[in-house]
Amino acid sequence: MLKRKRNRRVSRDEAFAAYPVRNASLPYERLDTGEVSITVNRRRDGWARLLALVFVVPRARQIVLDQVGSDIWELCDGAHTVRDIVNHVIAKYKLNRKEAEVSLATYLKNLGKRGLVGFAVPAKEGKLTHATSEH
Amino acid sequence: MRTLTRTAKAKAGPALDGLIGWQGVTARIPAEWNLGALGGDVRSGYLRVDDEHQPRLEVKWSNAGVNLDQALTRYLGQLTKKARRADKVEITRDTRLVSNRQQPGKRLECFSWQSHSQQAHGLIWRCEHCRRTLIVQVLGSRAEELAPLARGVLGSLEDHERDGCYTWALYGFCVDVPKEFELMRQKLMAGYLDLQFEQGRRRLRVTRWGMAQMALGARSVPHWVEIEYLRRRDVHWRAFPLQQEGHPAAGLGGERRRPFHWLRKQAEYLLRFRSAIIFSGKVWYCEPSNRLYAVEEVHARDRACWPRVADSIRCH
Repeated sequence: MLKRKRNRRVSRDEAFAAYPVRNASLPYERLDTGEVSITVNRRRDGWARLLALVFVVPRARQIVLDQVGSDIWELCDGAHTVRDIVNHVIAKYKLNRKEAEVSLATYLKNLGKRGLVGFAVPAKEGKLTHATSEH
Repeated sequence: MRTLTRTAKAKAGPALDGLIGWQGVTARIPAEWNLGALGGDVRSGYLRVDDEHQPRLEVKWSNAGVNLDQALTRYLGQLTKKARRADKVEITRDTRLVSNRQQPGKRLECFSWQSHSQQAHGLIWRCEHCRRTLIVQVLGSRAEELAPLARGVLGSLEDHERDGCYTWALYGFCVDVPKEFELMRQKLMAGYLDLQFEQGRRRLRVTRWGMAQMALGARSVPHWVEIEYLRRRDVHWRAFPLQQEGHPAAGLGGERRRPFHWLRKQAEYLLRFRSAIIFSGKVWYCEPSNRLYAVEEVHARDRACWPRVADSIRCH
């Protein structure tokens, strides 16, 4: 009962076959500069309200992604795998495969930690299951 | 005819389009292999190259005088000991994968091993020219046809300078640096490579930035240099526009920053004395590869080697 549920560990191949999906509850817009601005609303539970009374916490904050980050964000639509995004980054920014893989894995990991994206990992039967994976 | 072509292709093995070079050790490798780990210096060190799934090439070097036979026995003994719990390792020595004719001036012995899931072909040699001992192995899965690939990689292996220069090659970047320069610091990051060398008071630095179009934006190269180099505290520099083989470029000039720099400058001005240690180099933007390259050096007047180093870089 007290045992914590562990996230399923995924292999490297599974991680690259995963489908990053944007958090649907976060509204975002493309700015004139081509960058993506994501709005993250403050939590609305009791604790958050209480803390917001004590500390001045705005109702929402903006996260503005840079050009590459914005491109990747647009591709996190559940239709592209991590490997597809790596190939896109290699083709568009002319990076070496290793460079693209390392930087994209770090970036997606950061987005995942902040709850901005989730990862759908194909299960053995072929169904998509959601997992918080570490690449 | 077709059979002959096929046989010739199978003998030649897969294409070795890539190059790895570190501390004087160079080898031709498939383009999809990349540097995985490294350590040590020119005297003794380690290098590992990986493909997408697993380590593919391991190189260890040392300039300590060792008995090749004993060193190989020790290495293979360690390998067997490590693998004992998991599975049995079958070792074959003196495989003659690479001949002495292919690698002249070297005393070498080839070996191979295979376990339940993996296999490797390797060699150990002592080079009479650079007095280094190398132990190298090309790894692969058990099911793979590894011998032609290993023959190609091990046959292309070199461990000393060519025309007085060591070739430094990684992640598609390749530069020749005079042998007397020793690597002091390196930063190998995604989209940014920086190698810093020293030889006495001379300092040479080679840098490559990825995604250059984004970094530059609408700025010219000299303008970008002015912003990027603002953080530099080790030199007093100035940038000026330049053209390099059709690439937009910026020249760098200046002086090494010294303690009491301003006072020294005043004294030099009064004595009509020109500083002997100067800073120069260039930065250029290669549009086809979408990268920025910089080669710079702190050197004695009339003793600059950076133009030769910059010329050795094939940017696209």
